[in-house]
Amino acid sequence: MAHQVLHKGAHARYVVSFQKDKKGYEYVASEYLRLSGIYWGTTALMLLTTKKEEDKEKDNNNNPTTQFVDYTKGLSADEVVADVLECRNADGGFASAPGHDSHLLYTLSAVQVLCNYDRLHKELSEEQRRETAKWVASLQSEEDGSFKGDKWGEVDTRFSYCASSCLRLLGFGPELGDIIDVEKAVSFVLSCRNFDEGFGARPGDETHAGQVFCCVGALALLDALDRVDADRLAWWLCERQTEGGGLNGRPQKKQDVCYTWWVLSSLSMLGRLHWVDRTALVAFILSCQDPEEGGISDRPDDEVDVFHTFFGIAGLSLLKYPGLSEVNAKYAMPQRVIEKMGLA
Amino acid sequence: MHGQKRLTKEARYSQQRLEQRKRKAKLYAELSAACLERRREGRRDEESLALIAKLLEMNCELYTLWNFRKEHLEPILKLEGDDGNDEARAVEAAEKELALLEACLQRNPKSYCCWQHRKWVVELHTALPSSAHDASLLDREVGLCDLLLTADERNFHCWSYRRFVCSLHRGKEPESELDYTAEKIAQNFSNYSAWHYRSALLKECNKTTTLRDLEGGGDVAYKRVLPPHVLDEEFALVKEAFYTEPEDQSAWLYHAWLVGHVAETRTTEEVDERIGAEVATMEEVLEVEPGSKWPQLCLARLLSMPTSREDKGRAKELYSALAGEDPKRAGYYRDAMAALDR
Amino acid sequence: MSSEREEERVRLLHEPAADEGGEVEPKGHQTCDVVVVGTGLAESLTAASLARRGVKVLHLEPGETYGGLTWATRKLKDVLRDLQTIEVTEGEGVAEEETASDAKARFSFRRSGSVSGVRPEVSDRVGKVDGNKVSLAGDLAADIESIQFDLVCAPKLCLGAGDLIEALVASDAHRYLEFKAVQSTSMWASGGEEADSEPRSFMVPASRSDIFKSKDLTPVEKRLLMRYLKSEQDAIAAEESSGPGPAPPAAAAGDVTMEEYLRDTHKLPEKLRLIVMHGIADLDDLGGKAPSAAEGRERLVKYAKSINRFGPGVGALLACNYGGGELTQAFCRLAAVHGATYVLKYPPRSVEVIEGDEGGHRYEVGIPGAAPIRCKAVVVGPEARLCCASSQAEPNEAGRIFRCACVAIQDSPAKGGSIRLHVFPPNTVAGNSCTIRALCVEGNALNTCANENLVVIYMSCRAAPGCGDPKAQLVGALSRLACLQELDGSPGLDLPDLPMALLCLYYTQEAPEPAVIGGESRIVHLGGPDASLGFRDTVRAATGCVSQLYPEHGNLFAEAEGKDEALEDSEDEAETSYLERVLQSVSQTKIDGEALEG
Repeated sequence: MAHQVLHKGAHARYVVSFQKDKKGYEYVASEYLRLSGIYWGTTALMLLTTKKEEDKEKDNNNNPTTQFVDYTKGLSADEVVADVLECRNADGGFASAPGHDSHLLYTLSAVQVLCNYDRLHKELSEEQRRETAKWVASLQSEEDGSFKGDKWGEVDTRFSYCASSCLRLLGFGPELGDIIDVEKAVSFVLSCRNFDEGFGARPGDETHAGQVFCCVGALALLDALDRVDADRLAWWLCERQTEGGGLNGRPQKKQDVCYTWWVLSSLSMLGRLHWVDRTALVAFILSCQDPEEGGISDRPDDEVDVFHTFFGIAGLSLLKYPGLSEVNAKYAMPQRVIEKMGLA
Repeated sequence: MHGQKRLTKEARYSQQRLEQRKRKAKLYAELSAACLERRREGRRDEESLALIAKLLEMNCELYTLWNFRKEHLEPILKLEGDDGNDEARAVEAAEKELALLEACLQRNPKSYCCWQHRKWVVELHTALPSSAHDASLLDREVGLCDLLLTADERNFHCWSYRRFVCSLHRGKEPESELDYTAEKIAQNFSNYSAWHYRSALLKECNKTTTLRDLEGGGDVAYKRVLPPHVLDEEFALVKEAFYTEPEDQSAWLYHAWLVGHVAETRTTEEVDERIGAEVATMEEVLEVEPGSKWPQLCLARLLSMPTSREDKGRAKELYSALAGEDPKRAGYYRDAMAALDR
Repeated sequence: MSSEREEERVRLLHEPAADEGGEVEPKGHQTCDVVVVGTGLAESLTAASLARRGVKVLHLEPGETYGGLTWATRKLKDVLRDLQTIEVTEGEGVAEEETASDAKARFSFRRSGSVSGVRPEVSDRVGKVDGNKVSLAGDLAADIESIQFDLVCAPKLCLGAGDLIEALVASDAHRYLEFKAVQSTSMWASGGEEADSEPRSFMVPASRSDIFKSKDLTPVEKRLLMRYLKSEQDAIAAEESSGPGPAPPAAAAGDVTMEEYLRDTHKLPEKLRLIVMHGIADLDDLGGKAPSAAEGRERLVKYAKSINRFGPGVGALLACNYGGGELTQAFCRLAAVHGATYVLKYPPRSVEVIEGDEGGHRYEVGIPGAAPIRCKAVVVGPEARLCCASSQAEPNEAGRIFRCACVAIQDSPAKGGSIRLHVFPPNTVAGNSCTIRALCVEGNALNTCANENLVVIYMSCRAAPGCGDPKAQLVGALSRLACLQELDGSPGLDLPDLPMALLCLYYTQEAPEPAVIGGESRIVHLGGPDASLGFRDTVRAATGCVSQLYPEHGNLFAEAEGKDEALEDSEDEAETSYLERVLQSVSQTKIDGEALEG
C-alpha cells in the first residue's frame, strides 16, 4: 500500500465504461440520479486531464511522463450534452433522467456539465436560461429564505447551495438580488448553525460534513462567509481526520472517501486546508482505488462507484496531488472552467 | 455503494453472475419503463399505484414515482376535488401510504425521498378534521423513530424526522425529549447525535435571553442563555463522560460549547469561577492520564482565555506538545499557538 | 415435552417393571453405543453432542422429570415433596447394594441424595412446618402452590458470549429456548473503615455505559476502572488478531493471583478490585486457592464480550425463560431429534464389564425388569452413583454448596417484574466466608410465577470446610434482601421496602467433580451444578467427557460455516425473481383487461 500512485488511466476507463454500459444494472438502477452521475463522471475525467503545459505527471519511477492524455475524449462531448439536454423539462428545470421530474439537484448538475463543456450559452437560449433561473428562484421560500428541492417542498441547506451555485453559473453576479432574496437565503443557512459551529440540513439538524460544504459553499457564493467563526468550524472539520488518515462526516463515524471532498473543500474555502495531514489523507484515498478495474470506493476493498471516484479525485486535486487539474472548491468544477467564466 | 465489499475478479466476471445481472437489469428496466409510462399517461388507477409501490419497495429513491403518488394523494388527503369530502378514505389512503413507507424505510433507513414523503403524508394526515387521533398518530411516529434509532442511533434522517414530528405534536414538551437524549447518552455517550439534540433542546427548554439580544432581534434562539444551574448539571454530565473515556470526542466537543457559552453569556466573576473549576478538572484528568490529547487541548484553551487563570506560556507548551502527539492536526495547533501572540 | 416425546419413544424396554421385586429375567439383550444415566445438563449436553455425530445413545432418567432433582424447573409442591423424600432416603440409607459376584467387573448404582439437610421455614400466613414436612394453607399458599409457580434447585445465568450460549448456537438447540436479560448486578460491600458498619449495595458497573452512569464511583475511579477493562479487551483483541503471537502481559502469564495482578500491575484500589473479581469475573476465593490472573482475565474478557451481544442495553447476563430446567430439555430434545432414545423413571441397577463382542460392546447395563443393555461406554450423572464394593471406585469426593430458595411478597412490584443479581463478597455480612450470590426474580419476569407481588430469592455459596450450615452462612445476606421476621421472628433490619419472606428452604447440594470410574476409561461420572453462577464448568465437563469417549470428535458441536458470497448471489437472485413476479402480474392484468374489453 505504501507508495501507491493514482491509477489515472484505470479510473478514466472505469468512468467511461460505466457511462457507456447503458444496459448494465448499475446504470439502469441509478436512473434517479443519472444526471448527477454524468456530472461526477465527466468532471472526474476533466480533473484527470491536465493542460498540456501543466502536465507534470510522473511515472512509477518518478520521472515526468511526456505522454499527454486527454481523458475527456473517452466520451463524446456531443453525446454527453445531448444526454443532459434530454433531461430538461418544460418548467425550465432538469430531471435526473428523461421522463422524470425536475429537481434542483439535477438542475445544478445539468448546468455544471454544460459549463464544463462550455456549451451553456450555445445549447440554451437566453430565454431558456432565464426560464431555468426563474424555476430555481421559484423554489425559495419568501418566509425564511430557504430553498426547496422541487415543488413538493423538501427544505434542505443542500438546496440553498444548489440554487446559489446554479444561479451564479447562469450568470447572476451583482444582480442575484433581483431574482432571489439574498439576505434571507443567508440567514436561513445561518439558522442551521449548531453548537459546534457546523451546519445541518434544517434548523435543529445535526452537523454533517456534507451539509457543512453546502452551507459554507452557499455562504461563499452569497458573499457572506465572514459570518461564520472560521476557526471553530475549521477545527471541527479537521477533527474529522481519523486514525486511518481518511476523513469522516461526523464524530465517531467511519472514514469515507466522499468526506475528503466535503471536508477539504470547506477547509479550503475557510483558508485552513493545512489543518489536515495531507500525506495520510492521500495515502488513504489511494488505498481505496481498484488499481486494475479502476474506480475508487468509500473504504479500502469496498465496491467502487462513480460518486466516490469523483470525490476521491477532486479531493486529491485540492491536496495538490501531481498530475491533476486544479479543482475549484466552491463550485466543485475545474478551476480553468470557473476562471474562463470569470467567476474565480 | 457504501460499505459493500468489493468482489473478486473471478466472482465479478463469473458467467453465472453476469447472466444474472443482465437478466436483472433487463427486468428492472422493463418494470421501470412500465411505471414511468403509467406516470406519463397519468394512469392513477389502483393497479398502477400498486405496481409503482412494488418498484419503490425495491428502489425507494425513485423520487418521480413518489411525486406521482403525491399527485394522486393530494386531493384525497386535502379532501378536495372530484373525490369529494371523504375523510375515511383519506385516512385509509394515508395509512396505506405510511405502511408502504415503513417497508421502504426498514429496507433503506437513510432515504431522503422516503423521509420527505413520510413528512408530507403525516403533515396532511394530522391536518384532517378528525384530529382527535392526532396524538396517537404522532405517538406512533415517535415510536417508529425510537425503533429506528435503536437500530442506528446516529441516523440523522431519523433524528430530523423526530424533531419534525415533535414540532407537530402539541402534547410533546421539549423536556420529555431532553429526557430521551439523556437516555440515549446513558446508553452510549459517544452518541454525538444525542448530544447535539440536547444542545438544541436546552435552549428550547430555557427560553431566556438577554435584553440586548432581544432588542437586536435576528437569530435569538442561537443566542439564548442557559441559567447557571443548567450549566452546572451539563458540566457534571459531560465530566462523567470524559473521565470514563477521555478519548471520546463527543463529550469534549460538547464541553467546548459549554465553556464558550459561559464565556459569552456570564459575568466576569462567573466566568472566572467556572474556568477555574474546569482548569482544576483538567489538571486532575491529566494526573490520571498524562499526555491524553483532549484534556491537554481543553486546558490549553482554558488557559488562553482572559481570566485570572490565563497562562499563555503554559498554553503554548501544551499546543506545542499536542502538535507532536497529534501530528494530523499539527497545522491547527501551530496556528492556535501563533494566535496567542496576537 | 414429555408427553410428546413419550409417543415417539422407541419401546426399547419391556413393560415398565416395578422398581423392586418381581424381577423377571429378561431374555437376550439390546445394544447401543453409549448409555447416559441422568438428564442433568452435563449429561444432556453429552448425549446431544454424541447423538448429533451419529452415536447411538440410550438416555435413562431415574427420576420423573428431565433434569432430575438439581437441574429441573419444578412446581413448588413437587419440590417440597421431593425434599422430604430425600431426607427420608438419606436417613434410612440408600437402596440396597448389590453383592457383586465379581467385584472387579461389576459396579452398582445407588440413588444419590444430591440435595440434603433441607431446613424449611414458613410464615404463619402461608402454613406451618413439622420437622421437614411443610403444610401450606391460605390464599397466598394457593398462589405459590399453584401450577404457575416454579422453582429450580440450582439457578444459573448464561453469559451472552459464554460457553453455554456458544454451545446452544452451534448446536441449534437455542431454537427451543427464550431468554431474558438480567437487569442489574448489585454488589454489597462493607460500609467503611469500621468493621461492624452496615454493608451497603451499589450497582456493579461492568460496561462503559454502566461506568458512565454509575453514581457510586468517583470520576477518577471511573477512569481507572474503564482504563483497566479497556486494556484487557485491547490485549485480548491483539492476541486474537495475531494468533498465538506475543504472550499476554508478563504479570498475567505467571502464577500471580488476580488480586495481586489488579493491585500491583494495574494499581486498582480495593473497591475496584472487588468489583472486577466478584462483580464481573465471578471469581470466588476458595480456601486459600486464590484465582490466578490468567483465569480472572479470561473470565473478564468473556464477560466483556457478552455485554450487549444481543442488542444495546441487553447486558452480559441472561436468564432462561420458564426456568433453567428448559436448558436440559432443549439438549435432550436435540439428542432425540438425532436419534437418541429416552426413558424416564428407569433407574439402572448395575454395570458389568464383559468380554467385548463383535460390535465392541464392553459393558452390560442391568435394569430391573428389562433386558440388559450392552454398550461401549457409560456416562453417569450426579444423581446416580456407580460404585464397586471392593475397590476405590467412588467418584471424587463431593464439593458442597449451601443454597436457599426464599419466597417473599412485596407491595409495589415493578411492572413486568425484574431479574436482578446481588453479590456478597466474602466477609461482607456476618459470617459469610465465601462469596454469596443471590438471584432475585420478581413477579412473572421468567414466566414462573403468575402473582406479580411475589419475589423468589435464590442464594448460594460454596460450603468451605468448617463453615457451619446453610442458614448460618446465608441468613445474613438474605436478611438484606427480604424481611425474615415472619419466618424466624428475627427483628427486621432497618432497610426500606424489603419484601416480606413467606417461605424459605435452606439446603445443601452435593457437587461432585467429574471423574472416570474405577480405572475403566469408558465409564465417566459427571458433576452436578457447581457453585459458580455460569455454565462454563458444566460445558467443560461435558466436553471433557465427549473427548474422553470419542477423542476424534473435537468440539462439542461443530461450528456453522460462513456464506458471504452466497448471500450476495442470493440477493441478486431474490431481486430478479421479485421483478419477475411483479412483471408477471402486470402482463396478467393486461391480458385480463383485454379480455374484459373484448
